[in-house]
Amino acid sequence: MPANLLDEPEIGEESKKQYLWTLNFGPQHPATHTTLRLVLDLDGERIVRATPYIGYLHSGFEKLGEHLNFNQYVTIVDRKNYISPPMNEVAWHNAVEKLLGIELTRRCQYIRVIIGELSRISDHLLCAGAAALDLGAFTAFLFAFNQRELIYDVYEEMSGYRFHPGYTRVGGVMQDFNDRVIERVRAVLRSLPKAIADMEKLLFRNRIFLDRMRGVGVLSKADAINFSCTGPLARASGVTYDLRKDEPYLAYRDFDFSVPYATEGDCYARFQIRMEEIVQSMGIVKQAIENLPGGPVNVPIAEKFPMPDKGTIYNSMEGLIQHFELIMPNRGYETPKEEIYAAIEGPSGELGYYLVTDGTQIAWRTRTRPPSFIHFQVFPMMIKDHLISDIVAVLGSLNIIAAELDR
Amino acid sequence: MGYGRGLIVGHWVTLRRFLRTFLVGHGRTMKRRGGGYQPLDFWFGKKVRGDEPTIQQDATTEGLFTVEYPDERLPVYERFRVLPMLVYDDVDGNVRCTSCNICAKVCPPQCIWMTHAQGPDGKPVPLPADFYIDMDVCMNCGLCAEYCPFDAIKMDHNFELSNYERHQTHIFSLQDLLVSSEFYAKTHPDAYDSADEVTERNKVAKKKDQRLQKALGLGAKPASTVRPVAKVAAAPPA
Repeated sequence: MPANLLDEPEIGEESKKQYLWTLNFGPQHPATHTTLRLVLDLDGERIVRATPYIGYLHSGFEKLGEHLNFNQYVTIVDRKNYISPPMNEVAWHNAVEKLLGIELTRRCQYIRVIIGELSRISDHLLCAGAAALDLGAFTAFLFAFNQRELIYDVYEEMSGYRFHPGYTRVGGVMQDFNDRVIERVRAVLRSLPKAIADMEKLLFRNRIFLDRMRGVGVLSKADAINFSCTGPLARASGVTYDLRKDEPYLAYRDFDFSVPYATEGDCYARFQIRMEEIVQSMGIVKQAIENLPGGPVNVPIAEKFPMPDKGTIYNSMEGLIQHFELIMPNRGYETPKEEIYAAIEGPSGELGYYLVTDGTQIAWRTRTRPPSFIHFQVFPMMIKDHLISDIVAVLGSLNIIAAELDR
Repeated sequence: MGYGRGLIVGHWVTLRRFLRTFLVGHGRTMKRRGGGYQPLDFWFGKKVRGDEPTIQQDATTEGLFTVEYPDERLPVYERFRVLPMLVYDDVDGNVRCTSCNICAKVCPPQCIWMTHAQGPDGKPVPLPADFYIDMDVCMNCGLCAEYCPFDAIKMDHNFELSNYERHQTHIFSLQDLLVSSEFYAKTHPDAYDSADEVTERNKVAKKKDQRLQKALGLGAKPASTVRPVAKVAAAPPA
């Protein structure tokens, strides 16, 4: 046994196999949050090699995209990253509208910004809270979860469903924001600062928390770029890449916000980035809800693909015809035969959809570019030469959602 | 002081939370925040099932706040969606559904199926003979209600659906799904009064009644629409 645990053991190749022992971490381990599996080669408690296995939560979501049309599939994308469902919906219909060349109305863009940022807040709250929970700080997790409840109330008021809203549609949203929804968004904004202050008070100067997060799971800037990491993971390593700033989509040009980044690249930096991004997202939601433009929320039916609203169907022949055309499988409009990729800045990184269409209203192939899948590749590298208890800290800071990872 | 202080502070926080649960209200000495049952009501003032008080719970709620479900309930949001329901018009008793199959086509998990009604001469009538929804397959997405061009399908608020047996009770037939437009107006006041639905009712309902009477002859309705038929008997024949 070497004196320093972090030194490579001085043993020959032959005896190495007997010296190391194997441990299965997951797929049912509670700290893996969902069904992730790691096979660890251990030297004592030091990790020599970690091999991730995926596919325990494979649900065929991408295959379902080849059988459901653009509006139906929104019910499935909700179930991928179930921590922030509206962000998936915004990403999916962002790709579809790029394919069909639909320009959204101002009000719809603002509404999508609001639901997207709210889901980013809820995702970061859960990730930061769960990172603390895995290290034994239960109270901070509950403070975070309390705020998530209020955000769920917004989802339920706007769409009728707490967990899987299915809110966006091609060229618009399901139902417009009414006064009650706006009041609920304001309620979230009122109570969030206190909860964040509580969390920071509990964690930022907590000796145990700091010791277990600082210097653990360091990802260098070069590695972050080479493994195409995005989101808070890359920004904590000094890569200032944010699609909201770099390739502004929706109405992000209108809002004043900054992109926080750190250079340490350890778990603590990622935690701090997430807490700061919550504050920035709150600013965006506040600006959007105060300056919410009026006017129609859905694009006019001249755009062909959007579902006309009930008033148009009942009161105009064009609306009725369009409704019929969209529903009849052997009729309908032709989509362009194209391959497109469109991405937005998801809560844990670049969330993109690669769409291949063959002219029908159903995509031929829907490929998701999930941040979890990319980030799970760096995970074995980050925990190398760490102790077993550090796996939990690193995993908590990565925000890997198995449903999105395996799809 | 050192070690005992944290203990006292902790207990004080708990006590403060307990006290904040109650307000000193008008006329009552102690009033539970958010409404619902007051302290003594749990023993003396319990309401019957179906008449439970609803409680307001939001960001401003303080104290030890527990909603004593099922004796108390949280208010249901108007857009809240669970299972689809089929609406019939109170005025003339006609089922709004015309069995056009659009909802069955658009349903992502394909949990809706229906059969068309036939008139006495074997011709199709714009009514469903039967209409089934497998509630265990339904994912409550609400697309059927959104795509329905006759305002016939709406999303119900009833979420207490558990049962002991799946095959008999969890496949909802037309009889289980039918609700009156009065019921719908009560659960969805905003949507019922919206301009779209008012036009639809004024425009379509009368025309549909005439068409149905013609197709069926002498106002005879399929046996499956028992509840609406009772209403039709009272209405003057067209």
